[in-house]
Amino acid sequence: MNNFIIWFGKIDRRWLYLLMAIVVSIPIFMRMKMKVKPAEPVIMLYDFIENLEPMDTILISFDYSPDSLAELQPMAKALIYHALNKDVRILGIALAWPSAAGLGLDAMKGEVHNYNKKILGTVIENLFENTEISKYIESKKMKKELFTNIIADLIPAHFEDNKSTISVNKKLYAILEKQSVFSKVDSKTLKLIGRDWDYFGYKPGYALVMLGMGSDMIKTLNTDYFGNELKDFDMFSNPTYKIKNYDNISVVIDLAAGGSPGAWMTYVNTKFGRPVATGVTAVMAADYYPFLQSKQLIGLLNGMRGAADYETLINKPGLGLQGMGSQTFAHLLIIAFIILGNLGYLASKKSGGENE
Amino acid sequence: MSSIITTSIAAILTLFIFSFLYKDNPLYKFAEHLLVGISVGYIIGQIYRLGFISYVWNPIIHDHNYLYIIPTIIGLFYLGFVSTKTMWLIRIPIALGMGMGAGYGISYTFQTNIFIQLRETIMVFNHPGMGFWAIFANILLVIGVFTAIIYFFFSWKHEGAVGVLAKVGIYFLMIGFGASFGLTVMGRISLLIGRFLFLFKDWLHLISY
Amino acid sequence: MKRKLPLMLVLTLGIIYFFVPFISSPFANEILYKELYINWIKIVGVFAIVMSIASLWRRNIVKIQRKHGDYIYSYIEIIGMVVIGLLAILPNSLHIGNVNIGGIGDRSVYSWVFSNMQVPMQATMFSMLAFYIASAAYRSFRARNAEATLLLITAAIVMIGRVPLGENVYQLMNGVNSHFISGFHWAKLFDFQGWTQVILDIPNTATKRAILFGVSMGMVATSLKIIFGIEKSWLGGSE
Repeated sequence: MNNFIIWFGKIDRRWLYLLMAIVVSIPIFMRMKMKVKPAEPVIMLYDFIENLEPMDTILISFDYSPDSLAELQPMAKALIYHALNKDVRILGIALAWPSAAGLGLDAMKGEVHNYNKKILGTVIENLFENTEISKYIESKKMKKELFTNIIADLIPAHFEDNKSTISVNKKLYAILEKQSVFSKVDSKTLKLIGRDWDYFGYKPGYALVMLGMGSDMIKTLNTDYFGNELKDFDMFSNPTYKIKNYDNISVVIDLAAGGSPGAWMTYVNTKFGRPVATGVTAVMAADYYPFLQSKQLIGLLNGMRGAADYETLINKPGLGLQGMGSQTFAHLLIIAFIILGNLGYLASKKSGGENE
Repeated sequence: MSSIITTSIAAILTLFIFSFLYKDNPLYKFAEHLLVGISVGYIIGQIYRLGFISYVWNPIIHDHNYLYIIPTIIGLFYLGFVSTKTMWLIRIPIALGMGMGAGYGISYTFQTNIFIQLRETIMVFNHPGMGFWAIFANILLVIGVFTAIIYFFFSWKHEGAVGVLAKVGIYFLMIGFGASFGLTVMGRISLLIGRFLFLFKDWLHLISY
Repeated sequence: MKRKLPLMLVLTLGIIYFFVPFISSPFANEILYKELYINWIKIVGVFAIVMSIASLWRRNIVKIQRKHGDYIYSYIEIIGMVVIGLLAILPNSLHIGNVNIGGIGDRSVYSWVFSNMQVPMQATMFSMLAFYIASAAYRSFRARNAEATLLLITAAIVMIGRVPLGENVYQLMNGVNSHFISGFHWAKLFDFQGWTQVILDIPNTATKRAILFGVSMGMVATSLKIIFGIEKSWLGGSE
């Protein structure tokens, strides 16, 4: 045993790396499906969103960069999916990092796209039977999946009057209009930008923007990510249900890989008295438990496991749950490394060798 | 571009970065510098479109809010770096932001991180109908906060009663740090799993869930 | 003038703005807070980016001019920055086929480069830490004394408790407990997820709160030092 420990202590670190890579890969190939029991701080946030009424609004702040993609993007997707299905309006913003803007865009656009695609399912299926549309698909040598994706964006774009999406698919749009496809769609069932959701992207100013949104969103943000003026949107200007400031927002959820939950709590919770929840990387999660106990946070999603917990609650497995098998095996490997390392340390101490 | 080519580019760049694990090499360096370049380019895009156009251009040019020319000029002081003579001008916009920010933030930081936190530590027993376990947990919480503060309090020598309390404090701290450490391991591994899932699932389609 | 003016500005504004949250007059709320602080400083901040772009530009140009070491990579940095920056600035309407050449929209080249180049590279860069932590686990994490042992044991409990394995072990032990032994519920000892929650909720919360007090006091003290001109490092070295 001693000989093994001494030999293991001397091997090139790259073998340890390889071992790690194998241990993480095996459960992926085995498609290991693991069930998780959601933790209380995750259930708290889930329940909060579950109890919201249609037309309530949540604000998600994307405050992470691609470094922490694996932990926070699944959380973002799960939260957006949940809110969309509850008919809750969603706003998205990125304040801490410019590179979060693209991740927020992917998550929001992606989930809204999937939602609309599902709603438009039968409409799209019927389009394949239309001779003129079939001719168009054939002439472009377009795959069914690509066509479906384009339509799932083009039909909502018609109701949003989104000129840039329409202009890149001009020909197809004309055909759809000619076949009066749009009149067959009930636009109320779709999720439309400016009515059901909007995304602001990266807004420079950090705490200033947080504070500014507390008084007047239109004045602080002016335009959204797509260049639309907020004042032109129903969701920000309708006298009965407009979103003016935090008073019209049920909860701010900060998905963060840095200190931004502190700033959100300081300004939104302390100053404006509105609920704040957070989803953070596992590395920094432990620091936010005091705020959970003091109820300055109404929920906490902790790392990839937090995402897996939320995916379990909404019954939609995603990257979080898929990663749990590898996570388990890798943790066991790390614990084994710590034990082996310490056995070696004890052995060398006994034999009067160096401490290392 | 077709999705196969797209994911292949992403995957090849991923492998370029991973190649550093074997040893430093030109492929890694290429990817590293490309990353720096395009990420700064990305920032330029965001700041220009969502900062400059949205905060400066539209309000001044479209909404004729000419007062905003003043902060724009102050902002332009950042360009002072072009000459050593004007370098000091950079301090003006920094001073404005820092003076206002530091002054305005003090009371809210105090309230969020100290007053409310202190209140929730002291008032922890002020909830009627607490069971035995909740009372015990709250006692532990109060002891933990108090002893950990004692440990960090270096104005007294850690001897006698203070020494004992500081010792209890350090055990609490070690459990706290242990929790952070365990979670740190978890976080790092999650990031790796994310990349492997991308390579095996999205790129090679070796598995499907 | 070059040092005194900024210091005077910080002092005056720091003191005025300390009181702004406590004053309910329209002047404090509308002018000092909403207009000058939020709207103006937000605009001022937009230009700060110029400095970081210039510093990256200058560093690379110097490297290229001096043909310093791996100067060839400096071209990659500059090209990457200029091309992506320019694409974002070009008008949204510029498109070839169904690809937007200009702008930052979701179907733009700019977004494509972000999703398929920046994201995978940056995500991979940080994922490599998993390998380093594995190596460190073997070589550095030593239980040299009681405190370090406590730290490692806690870490191990949390590592098991945060993955599904923790629940599986508990379920297994629960089965053994109820089938073979009645009375004392000893299987509870193996409830790693439960213990992890207890660790996070009690000792972790307590110690992180104690640290938070210290850090926040430090933050406030630093703010005061900046306002009163005791902390001057932000002025930089030169006159």
